[in-house]
Amino acid sequence: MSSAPRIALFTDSAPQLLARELQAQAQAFGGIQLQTYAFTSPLAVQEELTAFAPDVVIVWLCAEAVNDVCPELPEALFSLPYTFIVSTMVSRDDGTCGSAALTWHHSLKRRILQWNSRLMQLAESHNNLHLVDLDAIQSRLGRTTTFDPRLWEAASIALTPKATELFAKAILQTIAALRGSIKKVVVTDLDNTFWGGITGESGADAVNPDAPGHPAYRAWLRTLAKRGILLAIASHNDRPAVEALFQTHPLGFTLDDFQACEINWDPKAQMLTRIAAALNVSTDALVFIDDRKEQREQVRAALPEVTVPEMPSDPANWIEFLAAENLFEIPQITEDDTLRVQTFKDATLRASMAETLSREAYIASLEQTLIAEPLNATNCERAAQLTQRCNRFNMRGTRHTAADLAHRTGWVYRLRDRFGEMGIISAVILEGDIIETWVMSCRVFNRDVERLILEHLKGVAPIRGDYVPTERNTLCASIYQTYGIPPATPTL
Amino acid sequence: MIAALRTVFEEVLRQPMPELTSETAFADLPGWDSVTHLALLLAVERHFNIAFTSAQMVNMKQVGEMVAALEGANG
Repeated sequence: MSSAPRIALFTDSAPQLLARELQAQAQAFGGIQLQTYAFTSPLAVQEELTAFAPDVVIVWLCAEAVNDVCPELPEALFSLPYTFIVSTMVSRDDGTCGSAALTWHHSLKRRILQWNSRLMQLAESHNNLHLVDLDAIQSRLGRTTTFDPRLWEAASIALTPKATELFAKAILQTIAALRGSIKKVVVTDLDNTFWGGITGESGADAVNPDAPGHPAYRAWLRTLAKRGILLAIASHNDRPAVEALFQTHPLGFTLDDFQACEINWDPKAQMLTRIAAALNVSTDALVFIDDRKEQREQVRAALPEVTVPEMPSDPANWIEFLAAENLFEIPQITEDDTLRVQTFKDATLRASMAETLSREAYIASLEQTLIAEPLNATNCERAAQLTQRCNRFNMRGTRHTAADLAHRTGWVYRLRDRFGEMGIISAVILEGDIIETWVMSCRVFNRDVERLILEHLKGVAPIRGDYVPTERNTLCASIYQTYGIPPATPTL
Repeated sequence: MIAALRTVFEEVLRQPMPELTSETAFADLPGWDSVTHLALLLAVERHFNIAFTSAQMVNMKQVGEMVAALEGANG
């Protein structure tokens, strides 16, 4: 998926409003190519699908078409080698059973709930199946704002224009995440953001961690860390005052829980640029949260690629607002995500060693073990995730989805060192003897890991590969030359 | 009223509209199709703060029918 995504849309609702809305919102991708199919028999149109070669197949079965029987979930369809985005059904009730609708298995409400539950099971077991929660959109808008029965009667249109707009947005956010546009870091201000009040003030403006909205915000940051988002601070403050505050107030955090801290009087845009560099990410992977409008606007002007949510003025409203903004879309959460913050903390230990030892001594002291695993149905999800996330060590700038990799050959590499398990940190996809894809996590740069990987590959069979320059992968340029890997395409 | 409708149509269809009469068929408007027709109906509803019935949504084919429906809704 390197250019405008090609999208096939299967639906039993009229597709035109959704198709138009997807086109209208997709400028970020340079437009989309969209074909729609009426959902009678998806397997019958398989030839046309093969000819169209979609990047993504959207399946939208609407709850309004459900009467005596729910449509079968097209499980056979999901075994085709495409990436699927499937919508949940909105909940519906016909008012015939009262509250027994929840416990009588044949009620409309219960059958739709069970259909959604089955869909979630399938998404857990199929790497190529991703869900969009249309039912959550209905919950946010309300039934009457989501569904206009006259549109359904007149033209089989199952969603109002407003609901269609949010549906298209959710679909495009999922596609963006599949293409690697994901946020990796949340950078938070401190005064009146992480806590109520201002450091050093007294009286009404004194620091109060329990002021309404702030404990919930800190809990939200903790949840983000558990799911693999790195935390950073960008605060206009004196560092000793902040350190003292973290000691004296029960915040549920220590400063060590933040992977980068910019506590000084520089412009916030400069802080964010340094945070991105320190964490080895690009600024477009940052989300910046600050209660002050002029700070937000300064950052938006200087770094338009940073996501800066327009926080409501009352902190009590923040969590509802941030939930609706859906800032951290991700196709799947893997064990490496849940380990990320811990392995990052281990990395600071390694980094301090690196500062004091020579390069050879440092690498030897790490006591690294590289473990190669053949690409398989379990690890191909993590391999795909690496291709989506890695920009700087991505030898040919390729991206894959789990669906792409399900039938490919290759290797994933786990790294362990004396500090602990780092999980899968590199993936190689082979086409015969050619390295078609090679990605490596920036967490393991400058530790000789690329040499270990090439030695493993050469030990299995002779290999060849090309470097394809992208905007960000210049550090890969001479690796094949350095380690004697011949080019895949013959030089003239 | 026909003048007000003309403004709404131009906003939704994003094109200049010809002079409208009672006999003008929606299908003849520049930029019209079955999908923009529904967007037109919803925009007219919002502009005049009324609601069409589903029968009207399906059956209205000419500007005159829409005017009659609007006058009936307000009257």
